[in-house]
Amino acid sequence: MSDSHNVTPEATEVENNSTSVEDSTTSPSLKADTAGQGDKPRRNASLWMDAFHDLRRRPTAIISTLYILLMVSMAAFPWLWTRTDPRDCDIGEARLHPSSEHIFGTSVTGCDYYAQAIYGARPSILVALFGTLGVVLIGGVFGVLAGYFGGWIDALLIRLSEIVAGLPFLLGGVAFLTLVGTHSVWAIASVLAVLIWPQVARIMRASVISAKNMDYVQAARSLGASNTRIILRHILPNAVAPTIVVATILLGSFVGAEATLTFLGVGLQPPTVSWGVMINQAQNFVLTGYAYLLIFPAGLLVGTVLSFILLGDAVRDALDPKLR
Amino acid sequence: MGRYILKRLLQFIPTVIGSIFLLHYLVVLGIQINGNPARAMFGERTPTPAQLQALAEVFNTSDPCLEQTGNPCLGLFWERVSNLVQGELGVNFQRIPITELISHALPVTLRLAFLAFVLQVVIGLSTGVIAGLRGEGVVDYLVKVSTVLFISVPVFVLGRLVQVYLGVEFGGVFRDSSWAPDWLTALFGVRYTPDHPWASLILPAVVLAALGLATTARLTRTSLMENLRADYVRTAIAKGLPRRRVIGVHALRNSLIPVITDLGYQIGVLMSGAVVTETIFNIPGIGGLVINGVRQQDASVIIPVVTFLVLVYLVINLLVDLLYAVLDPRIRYE
Amino acid sequence: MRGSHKTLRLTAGIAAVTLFATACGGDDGSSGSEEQGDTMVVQIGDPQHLLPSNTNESEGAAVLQAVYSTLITYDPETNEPVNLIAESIESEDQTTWTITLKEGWTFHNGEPVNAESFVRSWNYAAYGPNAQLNAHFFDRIQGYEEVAPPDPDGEEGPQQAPEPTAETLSGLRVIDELTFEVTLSAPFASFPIMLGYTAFAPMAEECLADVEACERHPIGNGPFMFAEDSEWIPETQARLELVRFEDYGGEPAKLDRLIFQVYDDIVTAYEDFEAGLVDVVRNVDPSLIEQARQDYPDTFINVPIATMGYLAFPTYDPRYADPRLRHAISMAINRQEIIDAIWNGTYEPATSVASSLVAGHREDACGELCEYNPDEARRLLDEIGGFEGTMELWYNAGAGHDQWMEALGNQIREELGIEFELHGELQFAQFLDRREALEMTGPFRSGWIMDYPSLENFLRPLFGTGASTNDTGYSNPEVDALIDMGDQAATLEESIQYYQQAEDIILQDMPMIPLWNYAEALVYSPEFENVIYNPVEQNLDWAQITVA
Repeated sequence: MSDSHNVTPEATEVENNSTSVEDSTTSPSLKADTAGQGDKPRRNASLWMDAFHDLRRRPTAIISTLYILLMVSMAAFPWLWTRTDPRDCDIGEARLHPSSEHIFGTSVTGCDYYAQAIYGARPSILVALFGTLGVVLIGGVFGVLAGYFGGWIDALLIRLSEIVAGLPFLLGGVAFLTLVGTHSVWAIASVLAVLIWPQVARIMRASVISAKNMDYVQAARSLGASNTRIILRHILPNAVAPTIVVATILLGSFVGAEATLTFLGVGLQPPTVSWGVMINQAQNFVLTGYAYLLIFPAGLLVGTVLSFILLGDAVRDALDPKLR
Repeated sequence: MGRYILKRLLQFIPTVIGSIFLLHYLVVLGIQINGNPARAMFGERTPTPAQLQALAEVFNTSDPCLEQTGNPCLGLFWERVSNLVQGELGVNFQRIPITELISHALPVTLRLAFLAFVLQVVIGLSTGVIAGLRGEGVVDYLVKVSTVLFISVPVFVLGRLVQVYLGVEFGGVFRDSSWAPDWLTALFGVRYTPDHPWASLILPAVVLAALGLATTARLTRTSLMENLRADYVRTAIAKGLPRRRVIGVHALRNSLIPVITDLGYQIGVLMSGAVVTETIFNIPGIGGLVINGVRQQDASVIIPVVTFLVLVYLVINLLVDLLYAVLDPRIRYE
Repeated sequence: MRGSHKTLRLTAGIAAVTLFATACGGDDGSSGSEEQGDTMVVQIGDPQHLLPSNTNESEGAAVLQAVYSTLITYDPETNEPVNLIAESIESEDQTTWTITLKEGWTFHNGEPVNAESFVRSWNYAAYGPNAQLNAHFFDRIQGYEEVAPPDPDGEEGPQQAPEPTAETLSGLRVIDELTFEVTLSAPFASFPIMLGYTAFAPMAEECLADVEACERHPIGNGPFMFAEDSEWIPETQARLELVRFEDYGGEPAKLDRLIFQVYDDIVTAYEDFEAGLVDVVRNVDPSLIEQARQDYPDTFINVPIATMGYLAFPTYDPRYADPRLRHAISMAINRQEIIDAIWNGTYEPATSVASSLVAGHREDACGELCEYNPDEARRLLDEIGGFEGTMELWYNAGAGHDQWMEALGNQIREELGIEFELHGELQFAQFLDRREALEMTGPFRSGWIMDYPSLENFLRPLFGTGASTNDTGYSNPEVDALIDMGDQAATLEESIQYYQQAEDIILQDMPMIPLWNYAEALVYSPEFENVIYNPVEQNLDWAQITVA
């Protein structure tokens, strides 16, 4: 153990390659199994080719990817899917059951439910996308700084991540969002990023610590390479694989997290239509014969979360040669 | 070993103080931006300034720094920390002692977390082992997809569905019958009832466990599959040890290491992450206590209770790290 | 390593012990809740307070109305005041009122309900430092300014409110055991009508001695009393067990026990009702109304209550200063359609600024101005040259206002072509602050829960110049004068005439558009009979209920 000033399980992974421990998050809905990553550095290009070929043979990966592409096309080009304006509502036609005119029926306020479901994809997916980008960015930078420089920076960042991780996710989310006031896509994505970054930071830190003592990094250093160059060229590529896996799973979890925050009254708000908003307005109708109000948005959302998680899984399996 | 634990315990101090400050600042900013909670109590009717002032004093939100947006109100922070250190938790907006609120909420939360944890261990481990032993195939796929499906459904939807179909519909069978014992009726009830403090928490525990259960199952599966491919298993089988023993004793034991550490973290999650489940099943637990505190911006509730949850998280983290070393002799803390 | 093994096992052991010990505690607390006699279980939300002077929300009020009785009550049919504890309430000049009590009323602890118990209660409520939420009910009584002095330079000013110079209201005087005299600072003909509100309930000496204990285990004088071991603790989803008070001064309750079960989630309560575990759901969620009405046609109660919803305008903003714009918007709104979609037709479209429950309410007060008439609305809008820019619609966050606000905006856009933006991001306190500071930048939601059944209660606080809840900046000296004349009129009939004239002017100026009269949607189990809803008290008459 060379990194002796702060011995934590992550730091022991180098000599412990048959089992690897993953961190947990504080959020139940964001729990994801990411075992098997952060193992040995593996950065040869053929690994990625192998992984790609492997993925192409996995039906779950193909189906998940196709489904995600469909949803992304809804988010990016909703007009491809419907010509109806989701805000063009007639309250006199509220809660009509699905028919040929309104194939998903109409909403509580008389809007075409199909159009709403299509346009609802964008905010849901944007929250997840920006939230994940934020987590990867903050977590990545902090993880690299902590792992590479060690010392007081490491200690400080570990404390910081403990403070954030110790804060229960939903309670923190409600507190932050009540504070911010505006419950826009940006606000929710930022709050997700602020609360979840320790998850990526830990993985990043562990990868950096294991990589920085590798011979080729030592060699680069003795050749006079700058810190920036070492980090960018030699260390980051090691951490990419586990981060991609976590990011994919986070994308899925964040789609669900938006809905849960909406349930707690701090998520997106009408007139913004998102799947979370739709599910929330519909959840009380489970009992009452308007089940379609719940089924359509919930179906789309569950499918999306499921696809991201299964894809993340498949990517991890593909990147892990031991499991082939 | 002792020095390591001491060091970790000392590191708790800055973390806890940092958490308290973060919470304090969140509440302070919330009041500065969103208005004094005392005002909301009067509803649409505008109180006189004197009335407002009197209530703000009861709420301990009358400090003038609460009107200057951005001011961290360090005086108030110091007051809170020193009160906490002296063990004086104070009273909430309704003048109920915080210790009393916690003493009501904590046992319920502990029971719920305990039941969910048991479910998670029993179901999660067994499905994980089955999937892991069978290897990639139909069973594995079924386990994988069904467990992931659980995580994909937002917890409030899952809770509502369980409540409607198992509580109202299926539970009706027992309520209408003459033979069903009370506990069975409570088990398939709609909400928590203090008359049956365990039975009526089982359905909520199922909902709560559904999330972590998938993680446990998948982690067990992956870990077991890795170990089954490990050299030592091959060696043991080549040596002629019975396969059942090799798998049952060696492979399983080793593959449980990451699972157990993960389960450790889960306890903290179960204790604090039940806000939604508590709301739906009318459970008076810690999560609801805090979320109502957050909504009312009642610092006197938020700060002690969340600080307690942070401490639980830190202690469990430490225990998990130690446990990890116990289970894996290759790791030593010096 | 060895050491840590031991510690671990030890800590685990302690955790397990505490877990089971506390579990046993939970068991004990609720033993003995077997059925005892006729029992009704009623859903409530968690009360904020259980003290008459401090309870200003519906959930606490529901419990208090079973536990406390007041001087008068209201006839559930006519909404007229009827004496209960009061023998008589009389005044020559509408300023000095003499209240005589009936004999034989006692508190649950045996103390007599006498003149002193009312004066005690009202003094406690009005005294500024007690910070009671219902203090404002007493501000018409002489001496209020001494017990709760106003801030000389307003909230923003540097000076703090001075200390009270008196502890008791000089306008309250006990004459003998059963008589007391109330002197108001100005004539007010509707004073007796106010006295049925729980804020005016009496208070036992034991209660004043320990107010906190009295909130947990109220000592009232009502038809039901808290069972010996029943206690209310907020945030515990408490189950409040009330038993019949045998020595009740009025007609005793029929049920043996009345239980209030606190629910966090209204849908859960309804599911519990379906499961037969709760007998009354007081606020059926709008999403469940259709079903409740279908499944329980005979026991679903839908009556208008004394709460009004408005869309208020920042009349101080030049864009909203023209009454014709406000008329146009009022006529562009199809109230019935929104009510049908959002509240399953339970609410009533508003035809007046006041609730239909008060004496002097007129079905045609607002007339065409409150009727859906898109052509006339467009004509009016054209007349004033249209509306520039986007209309911001404001409401407070997290209180279920987003759907109807959105529907309202849709109608305005549809009929008048005005683009709108929803602003539901402000928390309640901040929303109220901004309203009061007259800083709203668009129409905003407003509501008014009646304090006492008088037309005046819908006029002065909302539309009087500088009045406590006048958040529109509206001011019309003619209206103020008419309300004053109404207050000072010799008879109620006469005062109503003045109030109605004031209302007519207000509707022409329309600083707030009356939207709808809220309604109760309550469902109870068919096992019960004589379930009578009192719209003024906004509660069931608990004492009347019997088992079928």
